[in-house]
Amino acid sequence: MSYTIPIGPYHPALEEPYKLELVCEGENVREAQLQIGFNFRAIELIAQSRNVTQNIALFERVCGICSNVHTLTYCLAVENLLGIEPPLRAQYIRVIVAELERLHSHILWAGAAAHILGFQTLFMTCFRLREIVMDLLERISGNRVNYAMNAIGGVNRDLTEPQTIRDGVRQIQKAVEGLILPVFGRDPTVRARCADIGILTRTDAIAWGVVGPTARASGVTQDIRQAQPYLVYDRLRFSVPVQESGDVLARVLVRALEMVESCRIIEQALDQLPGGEWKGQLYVELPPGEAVARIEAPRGEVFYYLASDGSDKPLRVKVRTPSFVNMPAVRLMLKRATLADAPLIQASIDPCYSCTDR
Amino acid sequence: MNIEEIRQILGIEGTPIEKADGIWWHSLGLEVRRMAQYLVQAEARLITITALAADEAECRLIYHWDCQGNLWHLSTLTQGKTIDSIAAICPAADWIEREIHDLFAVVFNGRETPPLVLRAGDPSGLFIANGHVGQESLQ
Repeated sequence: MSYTIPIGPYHPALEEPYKLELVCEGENVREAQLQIGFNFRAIELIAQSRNVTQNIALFERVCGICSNVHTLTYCLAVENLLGIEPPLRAQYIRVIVAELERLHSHILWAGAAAHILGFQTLFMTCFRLREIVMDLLERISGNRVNYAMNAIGGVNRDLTEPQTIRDGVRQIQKAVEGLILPVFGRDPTVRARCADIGILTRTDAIAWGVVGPTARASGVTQDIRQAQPYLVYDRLRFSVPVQESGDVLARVLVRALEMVESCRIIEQALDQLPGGEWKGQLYVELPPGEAVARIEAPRGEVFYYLASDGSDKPLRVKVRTPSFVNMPAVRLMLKRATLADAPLIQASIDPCYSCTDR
Repeated sequence: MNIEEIRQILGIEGTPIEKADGIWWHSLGLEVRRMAQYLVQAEARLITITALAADEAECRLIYHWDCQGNLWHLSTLTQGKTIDSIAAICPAADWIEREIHDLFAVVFNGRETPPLVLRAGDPSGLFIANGHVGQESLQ
Protein backbone atom coordinates (compact mmCIF):
# COMPACT_ATOMS: atom_id res chain seq x y z
CA MET A 1 0.00 0.00 0.00
CA SER A 2 1.38 3.39 -0.98
CA TYR A 3 1.06 6.67 0.88
CA THR A 4 1.99 10.26 -0.01
CA ILE A 5 4.12 12.55 2.08
CA PRO A 6 3.66 16.23 1.20
CA ILE A 7 6.58 18.47 2.14
CA GLY A 8 6.25 22.23 1.76
CA PRO A 9 5.80 24.64 0.13
CA TYR A 10 6.59 26.35 3.43
CA HIS A 11 8.28 24.00 5.84
CA PRO A 12 10.93 24.46 8.56
CA ALA A 13 13.17 21.97 6.79
CA LEU A 14 13.15 23.86 3.47
CA GLU A 15 15.44 26.81 2.89
CA GLU A 16 13.26 28.07 0.05
CA PRO A 17 9.59 27.54 -0.78
CA TYR A 18 8.76 24.58 -3.00
CA LYS A 19 6.59 21.53 -2.68
CA LEU A 20 7.73 17.94 -2.82
CA GLU A 21 5.25 15.10 -2.81
CA LEU A 22 6.77 11.70 -2.21
CA VAL A 23 4.70 8.64 -3.01
CA CYS A 24 6.14 5.89 -0.84
CA GLU A 25 5.73 2.16 -0.44
CA GLY A 26 7.01 1.28 2.99
CA GLU A 27 10.36 3.03 3.32
CA ASN A 28 10.91 3.34 -0.43
CA VAL A 29 10.03 6.27 -2.68
CA ARG A 30 8.02 5.09 -5.67
CA GLU A 31 7.35 8.47 -7.28
CA ALA A 32 8.19 12.09 -6.58
CA GLN A 33 6.43 15.23 -7.76
CA LEU A 34 7.92 18.67 -7.52
CA GLN A 35 5.98 21.93 -7.60
CA ILE A 36 7.73 25.24 -8.08
CA GLY A 37 6.65 28.83 -8.70
CA PHE A 38 6.28 29.98 -5.09
CA ASN A 39 9.14 32.44 -5.68
CA PHE A 40 7.96 33.57 -9.12
CA ARG A 41 8.64 37.31 -9.54
CA ALA A 42 8.22 37.68 -13.34
CA ILE A 43 11.72 39.15 -13.58
CA GLU A 44 11.79 38.60 -17.34
CA LEU A 45 8.63 40.68 -17.70
CA ILE A 46 9.92 43.42 -15.40
CA ALA A 47 13.09 43.59 -17.56
CA GLN A 48 10.96 44.73 -20.49
CA SER A 49 10.03 47.91 -18.61
CA ARG A 50 13.57 48.89 -17.58
CA ASN A 51 16.41 50.17 -19.66
CA VAL A 52 19.49 48.21 -20.54
CA THR A 53 21.55 49.51 -17.60
CA GLN A 54 18.80 49.33 -14.98
CA ASN A 55 18.37 45.66 -15.86
CA ILE A 56 21.84 44.84 -14.53
CA ALA A 57 20.64 45.57 -10.99
CA LEU A 58 17.45 43.63 -11.67
CA PHE A 59 19.22 40.47 -12.86
CA GLU A 60 21.58 40.64 -9.89
CA ARG A 61 18.48 39.75 -7.85
CA VAL A 62 17.66 36.53 -9.72
CA CYS A 63 19.77 34.59 -7.23
CA GLY A 64 21.22 35.38 -3.82
CA ILE A 65 24.17 33.01 -4.10
CA CYS A 66 25.25 33.34 -7.73
CA SER A 67 24.13 36.92 -8.29
CA ASN A 68 27.32 37.73 -10.23
CA VAL A 69 26.79 35.09 -12.92
CA HIS A 70 23.45 36.61 -13.85
CA THR A 71 24.79 40.12 -14.37
CA LEU A 72 27.79 38.67 -16.16
CA THR A 73 25.71 36.61 -18.60
CA TYR A 74 23.33 39.51 -19.18
CA CYS A 75 26.24 41.89 -19.87
CA LEU A 76 27.82 39.34 -22.24
CA ALA A 77 24.53 39.07 -24.16
CA VAL A 78 24.29 42.88 -24.40
CA GLU A 79 27.95 43.05 -25.49
CA ASN A 80 27.28 40.39 -28.16
CA LEU A 81 24.42 42.50 -29.47
CA LEU A 82 26.49 45.68 -29.39
CA GLY A 83 29.48 43.88 -30.94
CA ILE A 84 31.89 45.09 -28.27
CA GLU A 85 34.46 43.37 -26.09
CA PRO A 86 35.47 44.57 -22.60
CA PRO A 87 39.11 45.57 -21.96
CA LEU A 88 41.40 42.66 -21.11
CA ARG A 89 41.86 43.74 -17.48
CA ALA A 90 38.09 43.80 -17.02
CA GLN A 91 37.83 40.27 -18.44
CA TYR A 92 40.40 38.98 -15.94
CA ILE A 93 38.62 40.72 -13.08
CA ARG A 94 35.35 39.13 -14.20
CA VAL A 95 37.00 35.70 -14.16
CA ILE A 96 38.42 36.23 -10.66
CA VAL A 97 35.07 37.33 -9.25
CA ALA A 98 33.24 34.50 -11.05
CA GLU A 99 35.62 31.89 -9.61
CA LEU A 100 35.42 33.39 -6.12
CA GLU A 101 31.65 33.13 -6.46
CA ARG A 102 31.99 29.48 -7.51
CA LEU A 103 34.16 28.86 -4.45
CA HIS A 104 31.56 30.54 -2.27
CA SER A 105 28.71 28.54 -3.76
CA HIS A 106 30.51 25.18 -3.57
CA ILE A 107 31.75 25.78 -0.01
CA LEU A 108 28.28 26.80 1.10
CA TRP A 109 26.88 23.67 -0.53
CA ALA A 110 29.57 21.46 1.03
CA GLY A 111 28.60 22.87 4.43
CA ALA A 112 24.91 22.27 3.81
CA ALA A 113 25.65 18.72 2.63
CA ALA A 114 27.77 18.07 5.73
CA HIS A 115 24.89 19.33 7.87
CA ILE A 116 22.44 16.94 6.18
CA LEU A 117 24.93 14.11 6.61
CA GLY A 118 25.11 14.94 10.32
CA PHE A 119 28.78 15.89 10.06
CA GLN A 120 28.65 19.09 12.11
CA THR A 121 32.43 19.58 12.38
CA LEU A 122 32.74 19.75 8.61
CA PHE A 123 29.70 22.01 8.45
CA MET A 124 31.42 24.51 10.78
CA THR A 125 34.70 24.20 8.86
CA CYS A 126 32.97 24.99 5.57
CA PHE A 127 31.13 27.98 6.97
CA ARG A 128 34.38 29.36 8.41
CA LEU A 129 35.93 29.02 4.93
CA ARG A 130 32.90 30.67 3.41
CA GLU A 131 33.60 33.74 5.54
CA ILE A 132 37.06 34.02 3.95
CA VAL A 133 35.57 34.05 0.45
CA MET A 134 32.90 36.54 1.44
CA ASP A 135 35.55 38.79 3.00
CA LEU A 136 37.55 38.63 -0.24
CA LEU A 137 34.51 39.54 -2.31
CA GLU A 138 33.81 42.39 0.08
CA ARG A 139 37.38 43.64 -0.29
CA ILE A 140 36.95 43.66 -4.08
CA SER A 141 33.43 44.96 -4.41
CA GLY A 142 32.37 46.41 -1.07
CA ASN A 143 29.56 43.86 -0.90
CA ARG A 144 29.20 40.36 0.53
CA VAL A 145 26.22 39.18 -1.52
CA ASN A 146 25.31 41.33 -4.53
CA TYR A 147 28.71 42.46 -5.78
CA ALA A 148 27.55 44.89 -8.49
CA MET A 149 30.80 44.27 -10.36
CA ASN A 150 29.59 43.95 -13.94
CA ALA A 151 28.91 46.82 -16.28
CA ILE A 152 28.30 46.75 -20.00
CA GLY A 153 31.72 46.71 -21.62
CA GLY A 154 33.69 46.36 -18.39
CA VAL A 155 33.50 46.25 -14.62
CA ASN A 156 32.50 48.82 -12.02
CA ARG A 157 35.55 48.44 -9.76
CA ASP A 158 39.20 47.76 -10.27
CA LEU A 159 41.03 44.99 -8.43
CA THR A 160 43.47 46.81 -6.18
CA GLU A 161 44.62 44.17 -3.68
CA PRO A 162 45.82 41.15 -5.65
CA GLN A 163 48.05 39.86 -2.86
CA THR A 164 45.15 39.81 -0.39
CA ILE A 165 43.15 37.74 -2.87
CA ARG A 166 46.09 35.41 -3.44
CA ASP A 167 46.64 34.87 0.32
CA GLY A 168 42.95 34.16 0.91
CA VAL A 169 42.69 31.75 -2.00
CA ARG A 170 45.80 29.84 -0.84
CA GLN A 171 44.24 29.51 2.59
CA ILE A 172 41.07 28.12 1.04
CA GLN A 173 42.94 25.72 -1.25
CA LYS A 174 44.90 24.37 1.69
CA ALA A 175 41.70 23.75 3.66
CA VAL A 176 39.90 22.17 0.71
CA GLU A 177 42.81 19.83 -0.07
CA GLY A 178 43.58 19.09 3.56
CA LEU A 179 40.09 18.78 5.02
CA ILE A 180 37.13 18.81 2.64
CA LEU A 181 38.52 16.52 -0.07
CA PRO A 182 39.81 13.82 2.33
CA VAL A 183 36.53 13.77 4.25
CA PHE A 184 34.31 13.62 1.15
CA GLY A 185 36.68 11.28 -0.66
CA ARG A 186 37.68 8.78 2.01
CA ASP A 187 35.54 9.04 5.13
CA PRO A 188 33.60 5.74 5.54
CA THR A 189 30.52 7.48 6.99
CA VAL A 190 30.27 9.88 4.04
CA ARG A 191 30.76 6.96 1.65
CA ALA A 192 28.08 4.91 3.39
CA ARG A 193 25.60 7.80 3.17
CA CYS A 194 26.40 8.97 -0.38
CA ALA A 195 27.62 6.07 -2.51
CA ASP A 196 25.15 4.27 -4.80
CA ILE A 197 22.18 6.48 -3.96
CA GLY A 198 20.32 8.98 -6.13
CA ILE A 199 21.82 7.62 -9.33
CA LEU A 200 21.39 9.59 -12.57
CA THR A 201 22.71 7.79 -15.64
CA ARG A 202 24.60 9.58 -18.39
CA THR A 203 21.79 8.82 -20.87
CA ASP A 204 19.18 10.36 -18.58
CA ALA A 205 21.42 13.35 -17.85
CA ILE A 206 21.65 14.14 -21.57
CA ALA A 207 17.96 13.48 -22.28
CA TRP A 208 16.85 15.74 -19.43
CA GLY A 209 19.34 18.45 -20.40
CA VAL A 210 21.08 18.33 -17.02
CA VAL A 211 24.06 20.68 -16.68
CA GLY A 212 27.02 21.58 -14.49
CA PRO A 213 28.45 19.44 -11.69
CA THR A 214 25.26 17.34 -11.65
CA ALA A 215 25.84 16.35 -15.28
CA ARG A 216 29.60 15.94 -14.87
CA ALA A 217 28.97 13.54 -11.97
CA SER A 218 27.10 11.37 -14.51
CA GLY A 219 29.94 11.26 -17.03
CA VAL A 220 28.94 14.27 -19.15
CA THR A 221 32.17 16.10 -19.82
CA GLN A 222 30.92 19.50 -20.91
CA ASP A 223 32.03 22.62 -19.07
CA ILE A 224 31.22 25.83 -20.97
CA ARG A 225 34.50 27.40 -19.80
CA GLN A 226 36.32 24.84 -21.98
CA ALA A 227 33.67 23.80 -24.53
CA GLN A 228 32.96 27.36 -25.66
CA PRO A 229 35.43 29.58 -23.78
CA TYR A 230 34.33 33.11 -22.91
CA LEU A 231 36.25 35.97 -21.27
CA VAL A 232 39.87 34.74 -20.88
CA TYR A 233 39.23 31.13 -19.88
CA ASP A 234 41.10 29.92 -22.98
CA ARG A 235 44.27 31.49 -21.51
CA LEU A 236 43.97 29.59 -18.23
CA ARG A 237 44.87 25.96 -17.54
CA PHE A 238 42.48 23.91 -15.48
CA SER A 239 40.93 20.46 -15.39
CA VAL A 240 37.25 19.63 -15.55
CA PRO A 241 36.52 17.00 -12.88
CA VAL A 242 34.22 14.27 -14.18
CA GLN A 243 32.87 11.21 -12.35
CA GLU A 244 31.08 8.30 -13.94
CA SER A 245 28.97 6.76 -11.18
CA GLY A 246 26.16 9.37 -11.22
CA ASP A 247 25.41 8.98 -7.50
CA VAL A 248 25.39 11.52 -4.67
CA LEU A 249 29.02 10.76 -3.87
CA ALA A 250 30.02 11.62 -7.44
CA ARG A 251 28.24 14.98 -7.20
CA VAL A 252 29.96 15.67 -3.86
CA LEU A 253 33.38 14.85 -5.30
CA VAL A 254 32.94 16.85 -8.51
CA ARG A 255 32.16 20.00 -6.54
CA ALA A 256 35.00 19.42 -4.08
CA LEU A 257 37.50 18.94 -6.93
CA GLU A 258 36.12 21.99 -8.74
CA MET A 259 37.00 24.11 -5.71
CA VAL A 260 40.67 23.24 -6.16
CA GLU A 261 40.46 24.08 -9.87
CA SER A 262 38.86 27.45 -9.07
CA CYS A 263 41.77 28.25 -6.77
CA ARG A 264 44.17 27.37 -9.59
CA ILE A 265 42.27 29.59 -12.03
CA ILE A 266 42.28 32.57 -9.65
CA GLU A 267 46.05 32.24 -9.03
CA GLN A 268 46.74 32.16 -12.79
CA ALA A 269 44.40 35.07 -13.45
CA LEU A 270 46.18 37.12 -10.78
CA ASP A 271 49.54 36.22 -12.33
CA GLN A 272 48.38 37.27 -15.80
CA LEU A 273 46.32 40.31 -14.74
CA PRO A 274 47.29 43.06 -17.18
CA GLY A 275 47.20 46.78 -16.53
CA GLY A 276 45.06 49.23 -18.42
CA GLU A 277 41.43 50.18 -18.76
CA TRP A 278 38.70 48.26 -16.95
CA LYS A 279 35.68 50.55 -16.80
CA GLY A 280 32.43 49.93 -18.62
CA GLN A 281 30.49 52.58 -20.47
CA LEU A 282 26.96 53.86 -20.28
CA TYR A 283 24.93 52.57 -23.20
CA VAL A 284 21.55 54.20 -23.54
CA GLU A 285 20.14 52.18 -26.42
CA LEU A 286 20.61 48.78 -27.95
CA PRO A 287 20.71 48.15 -31.68
CA PRO A 288 17.82 46.09 -33.05
CA GLY A 289 18.53 42.38 -33.13
CA GLU A 290 18.92 39.35 -30.93
CA ALA A 291 21.81 37.67 -29.15
CA VAL A 292 22.54 34.99 -26.58
CA ALA A 293 25.24 34.37 -24.01
CA ARG A 294 26.00 31.46 -21.75
CA ILE A 295 28.50 30.82 -19.00
CA GLU A 296 29.42 28.07 -16.58
CA ALA A 297 27.86 29.10 -13.26
CA PRO A 298 28.52 27.16 -10.03
CA ARG A 299 25.41 25.02 -10.62
CA GLY A 300 25.93 24.72 -14.37
CA GLU A 301 25.19 26.54 -17.59
CA VAL A 302 23.34 29.87 -17.35
CA PHE A 303 21.82 30.99 -20.64
CA TYR A 304 20.45 34.44 -21.54
CA TYR A 305 18.54 35.40 -24.69
CA LEU A 306 18.15 39.09 -25.46
CA ALA A 307 16.02 40.73 -28.17
CA SER A 308 15.91 44.43 -28.93
CA ASP A 309 13.75 46.57 -31.20
CA GLY A 310 16.29 49.41 -31.10
CA SER A 311 14.87 51.22 -28.09
CA ASP A 312 16.43 51.60 -24.65
CA LYS A 313 14.36 48.72 -23.24
CA PRO A 314 14.76 45.10 -24.28
CA LEU A 315 11.93 43.53 -26.20
CA ARG A 316 12.52 40.23 -24.42
CA VAL A 317 15.04 38.72 -22.05
CA LYS A 318 14.90 34.99 -21.43
CA VAL A 319 16.79 33.59 -18.45
CA ARG A 320 17.51 29.85 -18.32
CA THR A 321 19.08 28.92 -15.00
CA PRO A 322 20.85 25.61 -14.28
CA SER A 323 18.47 24.59 -11.50
CA PHE A 324 15.52 24.89 -13.91
CA VAL A 325 16.90 21.98 -15.95
CA ASN A 326 18.51 20.04 -13.10
CA MET A 327 15.53 19.88 -10.79
CA PRO A 328 13.21 17.76 -12.97
CA ALA A 329 15.90 15.05 -12.93
CA VAL A 330 15.49 14.71 -9.14
CA ARG A 331 12.39 12.60 -9.88
CA LEU A 332 14.63 10.02 -11.54
CA MET A 333 17.16 10.12 -8.70
CA LEU A 334 14.48 9.61 -6.05
CA LYS A 335 12.83 6.57 -7.61
CA ARG A 336 13.44 3.52 -5.46
CA ALA A 337 15.44 5.57 -2.95
CA THR A 338 14.73 5.16 0.72
CA LEU A 339 12.78 7.95 2.38
CA ALA A 340 15.72 8.71 4.68
CA ASP A 341 17.94 9.42 1.66
CA ALA A 342 15.46 11.77 -0.04
CA PRO A 343 16.67 15.03 1.63
CA LEU A 344 20.28 14.32 0.71
CA ILE A 345 19.42 13.30 -2.86
CA GLN A 346 17.41 16.42 -3.61
CA ALA A 347 20.11 18.57 -1.98
CA SER A 348 22.83 16.86 -4.02
CA ILE A 349 21.96 18.85 -7.16
CA ASP A 350 22.44 22.07 -5.14
CA PRO A 351 19.01 23.38 -6.17
CA CYS A 352 18.20 27.08 -6.17
CA TYR A 353 14.49 27.86 -6.20
CA SER A 354 15.03 31.59 -6.40
CA CYS A 355 16.88 31.03 -9.69
CA THR A 356 14.38 28.50 -10.95
CA ASP A 357 11.31 30.63 -10.36
CA ARG A 358 12.84 33.96 -11.31
CA MET B 1 26.26 18.11 -38.33
CA ASN B 2 26.22 21.05 -40.74
CA ILE B 3 23.75 23.43 -42.35
CA GLU B 4 23.25 21.38 -45.53
CA GLU B 5 22.71 18.18 -43.56
CA ILE B 6 20.12 19.90 -41.37
CA ARG B 7 18.40 21.44 -44.41
CA GLN B 8 18.21 18.07 -46.12
CA ILE B 9 17.11 15.98 -43.16
CA LEU B 10 14.64 18.44 -41.69
CA GLY B 11 13.50 19.76 -45.05
CA ILE B 12 13.40 23.36 -43.86
CA GLU B 13 13.65 26.47 -45.97
CA GLY B 14 15.00 29.90 -45.08
CA THR B 15 18.54 31.16 -44.85
CA PRO B 16 20.54 30.44 -41.72
CA ILE B 17 22.59 33.25 -40.25
CA GLU B 18 25.95 32.33 -38.73
CA LYS B 19 26.99 34.59 -35.88
CA ALA B 20 29.50 34.44 -33.03
CA ASP B 21 26.75 33.23 -30.71
CA GLY B 22 25.59 30.39 -32.94
CA ILE B 23 23.59 29.61 -36.05
CA TRP B 24 20.18 31.29 -36.24
CA TRP B 25 17.63 29.73 -38.54
CA HIS B 26 14.02 30.86 -38.78
CA SER B 27 11.68 28.71 -40.82
CA LEU B 28 7.90 28.72 -40.93
CA GLY B 29 8.02 25.13 -42.12
CA LEU B 30 10.03 23.77 -39.21
CA GLU B 31 8.51 20.51 -38.00
CA VAL B 32 9.54 20.60 -34.37
CA ARG B 33 9.03 16.89 -33.66
CA ARG B 34 11.19 15.92 -36.60
CA MET B 35 13.79 18.42 -35.44
CA ALA B 36 13.73 17.03 -31.90
CA GLN B 37 14.00 13.42 -33.08
CA TYR B 38 16.98 14.18 -35.27
CA LEU B 39 18.84 16.33 -32.74
CA VAL B 40 18.19 14.06 -29.75
CA GLN B 41 19.52 11.14 -31.78
CA ALA B 42 22.63 13.21 -32.50
CA GLU B 43 23.07 13.67 -28.70
CA ALA B 44 22.29 17.38 -28.95
CA ARG B 45 21.08 19.00 -25.72
CA LEU B 46 18.00 21.20 -25.62
CA ILE B 47 19.11 24.30 -23.71
CA THR B 48 15.73 25.98 -23.65
CA ILE B 49 12.91 27.35 -25.78
CA THR B 50 12.38 31.11 -25.91
CA ALA B 51 8.89 32.39 -26.64
CA LEU B 52 8.27 35.88 -28.00
CA ALA B 53 4.99 37.53 -28.89
CA ALA B 54 5.30 37.78 -32.68
CA ASP B 55 2.08 39.74 -33.13
CA GLU B 56 -1.28 39.83 -31.41
CA ALA B 57 -2.16 36.32 -32.45
CA GLU B 58 1.01 34.24 -32.67
CA CYS B 59 4.26 33.52 -30.88
CA ARG B 60 7.72 32.90 -32.21
CA LEU B 61 9.41 29.96 -30.54
CA ILE B 62 13.19 29.64 -30.66
CA TYR B 63 14.60 26.20 -29.87
CA HIS B 64 18.14 26.63 -28.54
CA TRP B 65 20.27 23.48 -28.95
CA ASP B 66 23.79 22.64 -27.94
CA CYS B 67 25.20 20.36 -30.62
CA GLN B 68 28.58 19.16 -29.31
CA GLY B 69 29.40 22.62 -28.01
CA ASN B 70 27.96 24.57 -30.96
CA LEU B 71 24.80 26.60 -30.57
CA TRP B 72 21.86 26.21 -32.96
CA HIS B 73 18.83 28.48 -32.64
CA LEU B 74 16.01 27.07 -34.74
CA SER B 75 12.81 29.08 -34.70
CA THR B 76 9.31 28.98 -36.07
CA LEU B 77 5.89 30.52 -35.49
CA THR B 78 2.94 28.96 -33.73
CA GLN B 79 -0.16 28.41 -35.83
CA GLY B 80 -3.36 29.43 -34.12
CA LYS B 81 -1.26 29.73 -30.95
CA THR B 82 -0.54 25.99 -31.05
CA ILE B 83 2.50 23.88 -31.85
CA ASP B 84 3.48 20.23 -31.45
CA SER B 85 5.00 19.25 -28.15
CA ILE B 86 8.47 17.71 -28.19
CA ALA B 87 8.38 16.64 -24.52
CA ALA B 88 7.76 12.98 -25.36
CA ILE B 89 10.89 12.95 -27.54
CA CYS B 90 13.00 15.26 -25.41
CA PRO B 91 12.12 15.15 -21.69
CA ALA B 92 14.08 18.36 -21.13
CA ALA B 93 11.23 20.20 -22.87
CA ASP B 94 8.66 19.22 -20.23
CA TRP B 95 9.02 22.13 -17.79
CA ILE B 96 9.98 24.54 -20.58
CA GLU B 97 6.73 23.93 -22.48
CA ARG B 98 4.68 24.18 -19.29
CA GLU B 99 6.27 27.54 -18.50
CA ILE B 100 5.64 28.84 -22.02
CA HIS B 101 2.00 27.81 -21.66
CA ASP B 102 1.83 29.71 -18.36
CA LEU B 103 3.42 32.88 -19.71
CA PHE B 104 2.38 32.98 -23.39
CA ALA B 105 -0.69 30.70 -23.49
CA VAL B 106 0.80 28.57 -26.25
CA VAL B 107 -0.97 25.21 -26.57
CA PHE B 108 1.35 22.25 -27.07
CA ASN B 109 -0.29 19.45 -29.04
CA GLY B 110 0.05 15.97 -27.61
CA ARG B 111 0.43 16.73 -23.95
CA GLU B 112 -1.16 18.33 -20.92
CA THR B 113 0.44 21.48 -19.53
CA PRO B 114 -0.37 21.82 -15.83
CA PRO B 115 0.77 25.17 -14.38
CA LEU B 116 4.45 25.36 -13.54
CA VAL B 117 5.20 28.85 -12.24
CA LEU B 118 1.57 29.91 -11.93
CA ARG B 119 -0.88 28.36 -9.50
CA ALA B 120 -3.77 26.10 -10.47
CA GLY B 121 -6.67 28.23 -11.65
CA ASP B 122 -4.55 31.23 -12.70
CA PRO B 123 -5.22 32.30 -16.32
CA SER B 124 -2.35 31.43 -18.66
CA GLY B 125 -0.66 34.06 -20.82
CA LEU B 126 0.68 36.29 -18.05
CA PHE B 127 3.35 37.90 -20.28
CA ILE B 128 0.93 38.78 -23.07
CA ALA B 129 -1.97 39.97 -20.94
CA ASN B 130 -2.95 43.58 -21.64
CA GLY B 131 -2.10 46.18 -19.06
CA HIS B 132 0.98 44.55 -17.61
CA VAL B 133 3.95 46.79 -17.07
CA GLY B 134 6.57 45.83 -19.61
CA GLN B 135 4.17 45.26 -22.49
CA GLU B 136 4.30 48.85 -23.81
CA SER B 137 6.74 48.05 -26.59
CA LEU B 138 4.66 45.11 -27.74
CA GLN B 139 1.42 47.03 -28.15
